[in-house]
Amino acid sequence: MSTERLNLLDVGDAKIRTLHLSWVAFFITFVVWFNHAPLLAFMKEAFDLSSQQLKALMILNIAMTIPARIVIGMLVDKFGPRLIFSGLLMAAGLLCTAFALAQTYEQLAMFRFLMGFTGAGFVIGIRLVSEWFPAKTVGVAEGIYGGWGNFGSAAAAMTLPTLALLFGGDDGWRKALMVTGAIAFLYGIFFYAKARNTPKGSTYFKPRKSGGLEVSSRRDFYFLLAMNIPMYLALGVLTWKLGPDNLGLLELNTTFMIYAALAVLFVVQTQQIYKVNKDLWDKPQAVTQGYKFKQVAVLDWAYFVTFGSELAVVSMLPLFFMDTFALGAVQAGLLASGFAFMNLVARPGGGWLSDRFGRKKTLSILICGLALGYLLLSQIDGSWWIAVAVVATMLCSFFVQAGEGAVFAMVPLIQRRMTGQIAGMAGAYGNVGGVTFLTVLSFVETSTFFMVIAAAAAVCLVFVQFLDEPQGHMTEVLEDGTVQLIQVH
Amino acid sequence: MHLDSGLRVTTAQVSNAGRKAQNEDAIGIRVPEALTLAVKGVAAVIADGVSSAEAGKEASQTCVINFLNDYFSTPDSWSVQVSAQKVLTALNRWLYGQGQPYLEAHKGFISTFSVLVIKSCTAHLFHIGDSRIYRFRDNQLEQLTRDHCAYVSTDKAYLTRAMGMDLSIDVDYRTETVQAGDVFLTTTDGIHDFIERRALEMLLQESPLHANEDELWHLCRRLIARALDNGSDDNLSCQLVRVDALGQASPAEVYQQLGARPFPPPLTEGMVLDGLKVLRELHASRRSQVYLVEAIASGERWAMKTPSVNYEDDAAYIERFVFEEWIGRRITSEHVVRVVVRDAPPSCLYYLCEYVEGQTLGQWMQAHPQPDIPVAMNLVRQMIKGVRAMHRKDALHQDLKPDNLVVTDQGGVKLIDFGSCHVAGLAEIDSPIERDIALGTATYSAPEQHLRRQCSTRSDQFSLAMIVYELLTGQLPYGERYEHCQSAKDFAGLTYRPAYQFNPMVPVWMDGALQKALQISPQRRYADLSEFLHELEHPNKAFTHDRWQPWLERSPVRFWQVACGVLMVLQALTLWLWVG
Repeated sequence: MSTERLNLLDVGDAKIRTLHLSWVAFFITFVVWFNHAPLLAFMKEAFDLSSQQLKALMILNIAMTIPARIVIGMLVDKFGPRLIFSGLLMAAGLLCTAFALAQTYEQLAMFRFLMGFTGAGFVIGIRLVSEWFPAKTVGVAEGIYGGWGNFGSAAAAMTLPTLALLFGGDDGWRKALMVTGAIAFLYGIFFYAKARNTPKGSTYFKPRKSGGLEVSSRRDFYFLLAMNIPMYLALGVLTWKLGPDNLGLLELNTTFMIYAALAVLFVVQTQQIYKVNKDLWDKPQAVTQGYKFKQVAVLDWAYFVTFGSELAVVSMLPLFFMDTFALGAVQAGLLASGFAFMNLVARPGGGWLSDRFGRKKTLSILICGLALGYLLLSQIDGSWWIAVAVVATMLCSFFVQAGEGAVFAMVPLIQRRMTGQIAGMAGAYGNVGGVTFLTVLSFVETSTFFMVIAAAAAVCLVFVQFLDEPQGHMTEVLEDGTVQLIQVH
Repeated sequence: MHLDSGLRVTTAQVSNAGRKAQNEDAIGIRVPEALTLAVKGVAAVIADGVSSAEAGKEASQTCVINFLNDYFSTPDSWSVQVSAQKVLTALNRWLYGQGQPYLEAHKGFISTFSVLVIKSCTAHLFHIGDSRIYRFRDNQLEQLTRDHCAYVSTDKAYLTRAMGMDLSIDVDYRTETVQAGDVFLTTTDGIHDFIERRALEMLLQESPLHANEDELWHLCRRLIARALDNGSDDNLSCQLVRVDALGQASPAEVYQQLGARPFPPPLTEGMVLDGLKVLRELHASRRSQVYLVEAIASGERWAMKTPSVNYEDDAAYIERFVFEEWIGRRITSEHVVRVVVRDAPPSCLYYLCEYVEGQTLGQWMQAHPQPDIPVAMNLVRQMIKGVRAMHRKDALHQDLKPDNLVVTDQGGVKLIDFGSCHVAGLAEIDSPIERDIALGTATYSAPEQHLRRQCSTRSDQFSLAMIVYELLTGQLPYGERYEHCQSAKDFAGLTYRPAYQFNPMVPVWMDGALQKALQISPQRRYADLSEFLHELEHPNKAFTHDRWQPWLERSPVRFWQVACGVLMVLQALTLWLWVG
C-alpha cells in the first residue's frame, strides 16, 4: 500500500474534519470504557470489595462488548454512523453517571456490564472513516483513528486518579467518573451537530445481503463454524463465573437462561452462515478462486493474543502496580498508563513494518517479542526498581500494539470485498481474548497470568507459520515514472 | 469486455412455393458474431405475404430483409423490446404507405410476420398474423403464438391483423425463458394448416434433434413434403432453431474475464501508464479516482478514471465499471462527456474521457446564487439535451446531481459520470453475479429510486427538476426532510414549497411545471422531458388560472383601491352622522 501522507491540519477539508471528529469520539469511548481501571482502588475502599469482586468487574466490562459489536454493526447499517455514534456516546455518558452513583456492588456490576456497549464504538468510526477516505489514504486514516483513539485508556489512567484527588473527599472518584460521563454526553451532542455520514452528494448503492461470512469450500465452512465456538465458550465461562457456584451475582435460573440464549444464538448464526454459503452444496463446486479461511483464523488468534491481552492488562495494571510497589492511586495510574501510551506510535508502526518487511515475518517477530515481553512482566515483583518495571511494560506493549497494527494491515489483503466482516470477526476475537485472560486472572496469581498470556502467544506463533503471504498484482514504478504491472500467482 | 455470449444455436430453414406459381413467403435467420450476439442475440423471422394483396411478395421480403438489417443496426444499449418495436413500427409505416395507392386496404403491401429473438437466456417473440412459432421441449410441442384470424366458415379465414394493414398495429410480444436443448419451429400456414399439431410433434420426436445442420435441414424438407402430401396448396416455409448452449457464462468464467485486466495502482504526479503521464489527481472517492493525464506522444489531455482498489475482488463493481465505459462510448452528444478510445488496448482497468475545463454546476450555483431566469434556462436546455441523448440510447443516468454536471468556461453544460447508469440492453443479459443496484444520492434521486422500485426516464426527470429548482432558488423543493425519507409514507407526507417563495422572479407557470416534474408519484410527472422543457419555457394556462389566489395577490392595486373606497365611504358616513 502506498504511504500517502495526510495533512491533518487541513481542517478546511471535510474528510480531515471527519477524521478528527471520529478519533476524538473513539478516544472518549475508550476513556469511559476504561475509566474504572485506575479508580478501582477507591472503589475497593468504598465498597470493601474482595479482589475476586474487583476482577469480576474487569471482566464484566469487556463481556458485553462481544455481542454489542454485532448489534452496533446492524444499527449502523440501518441508521448510519452519525446517529449511532452520538447515541452511543450519550448513552455511555448516562450509564457512566449511573455507575458513578452506584450504592451497592450489584449496581456497580450491572452498570459496568452495560457500559461494555461503549467498547463497540470502534466499529462505528471505522465505517465512517472508510466512507470518507479514498482507498489510497484510508489505511493511514484508519491507523490514526485506531491508534489515537486507543490512547484513551492511557489518558484515563493518567488523569483520573489525580482528578479524583483534586475533588477530594470520599466521593472524589465518583465525581471524576461523572466528569468523563459528562464529556461523553456533551461530545455526543457535538458529534451529531458536526459529523456527516457521507461526503455531501455521494452516491449510494443498495447494500448487498450480508449476514454470515462467505467461505470458499465446504472444509472452510466447518472451519468457520469451529472458529465461532470459542466466542460462545468465553461467554459461557463468564456466565458460570458469575453464577451461584462462584461469585453469586447471578441466580441459578438466570444462568440457565443465558446458556439457553447462547445456544439459540449459535444456532441462528450457523443458519445465517449456511444461508450465505448454500451454493457450496447446491451447485457443483467451481474452480476455487476464493480465499482460504485459515488466513482469517490465524489473524483472529493473533488479535486474540494482542488486543485481548491489551484489554486485560490495561484493566488490571494500575491495581497491580499499587499492590506490588505499594504506590498511591495517582502514581500507579500514571505508571500504568505507559502500557497504553505506546499506542500512539506502535500501532501505525506495526502496519508500516508489515508493509515494508513482509507480513508473515513481521507478525512472527512481533508475537515472539510479545511472548518474551510477557515472560518478563511475569518476573516483576516488589524488589524491582520501578523505572525498570515501567520500561518493561512499555517494551512489552510496543510488541503488543505493533502486532495489532500488523494484523489489521493484513486484513484487507485477504479478500477485499469482505474486509468489514473479517475485521469484525478479528475484533470480536480481541474481546474474547480480553474476557479469557481476565477470567484466567480471576483464578491465578498475577505472575501466572502473564505467563499464560506468554504461553498463548507462543501457541499463536505456531499458528502464524501457517499464514500464506498475501499476493496480488505487484506494481513497479521505474525511474522515469513508468508504471509496470507484474502479475504474481 | 466479458460480454462474449456463450449462446450457441444450430439453425436450418427451407421455403418452397409448393403448388403455387410464386413464393410469397420470406424467411431469414441471422446469427451475428461475438459482441453483437451478446447484446442483440439471434434473430429468426418468417413472413407470409398475403395472397389476396397485389404486392404480397414484396411485402414479405421487405419485412424479412429490413427487419434483419435494421434490428442489428439499432444501438447496442437498446433492449430487445425497444429495438424490435421501433423497427417494426417503421416497417409497418412503410408498408402502409406503399399500399396507399390501392383503395382497399386488404390489397396493399400486407404480410404476416413472426420474429424470434434469442438473447442471453430469454426468447423474445414478436408476432402478428397467422404464421406460428412453436417450442419443442421435453418431447412436447407447444404453440407460443396465437393466430390473428377470424373464421367466417370452417374452411375460410381472414387475417385480422397483419403488417401493412393499418397505420397503427398491435404486435404481440412475449418472453420465454430458454433452456439448452430447446428447439424453436416457425411455420407459415402452408405447413401448419395441413399438418395437425400432434402429427407435427410426432415428426419432431422421430427426428434426431441433437444432430447437425444438415439433419435439421432434412427435417425441414420432411415437414414440407408431408404438408404437400396432405394437399397443401399454399407456399410452404419453416425454420428450426436449436439452442445448443445458453448465453450465460459460468461464474468462474465471468470472474476470470472480469479479472483479466488488473487494477492500476494508486497513481501520483509524474507516473506514466501506457504512455500517459499523470499531471494531477482531480478527484478521489471511496469508489474511484480521477486523474488528469497527458499523452506523452501527442500532448493531448484527458481525464482518466481508475477503479478503487477497495473493490479489487468485487465482480459486481468491476462489471459496472466496464459497462460505464461501454455506455460512454455509445453516447454522442455535445452535452455528454465523450469517452476517448485509443488505438492500443489499455494494460489495466481504467478509461479515458475528454477533460472538460470548467466548474461543476454545484460550484457554479454557489458563485451565482439565484441567476437571471434566461441565464438559468440556457443551462437547463443543455442539461435536458444531455439527458435526452442518454434516454435515446435506452439508458437511465440515475445519478443526476449538480456535481455530475460541468459548466464549461464557454458556458456549455456537459453531463459526466455514468457510474450509476441503467442500460436496458445490458440489464437483459443474464449474469451469475449479483449486480449492484444504484440508489443515487439522497438529495436528488427520485422517491421510487430510494424505495428500490422500478425506475424510468421519469426518475431522471425528477432529479433534473430538483436541480433546476435549486438552480433557480438555491433551495430544495421539499426542504431538508426529503433526504431523510425512508418509506412511501414519509414521501407522501412532504409538502412542495413553491419556487417563487424563495425567488420572486420565478413565474407562477414555471413553478407549475417544476411542481409537476417533482411529483412524488412518477405517473403524475411529465410523460417526456421535452414536454417538461416546453412548459418551462412557455406559460401553461392551466398553471396560472386554475390556482385560487387571494384577491390581494391577484390584483393588489384594485384591492387597495376598493379598500380605500370603502373606508372613505365609511368615514364620510361617520362624519355625516356626527355632524348631522
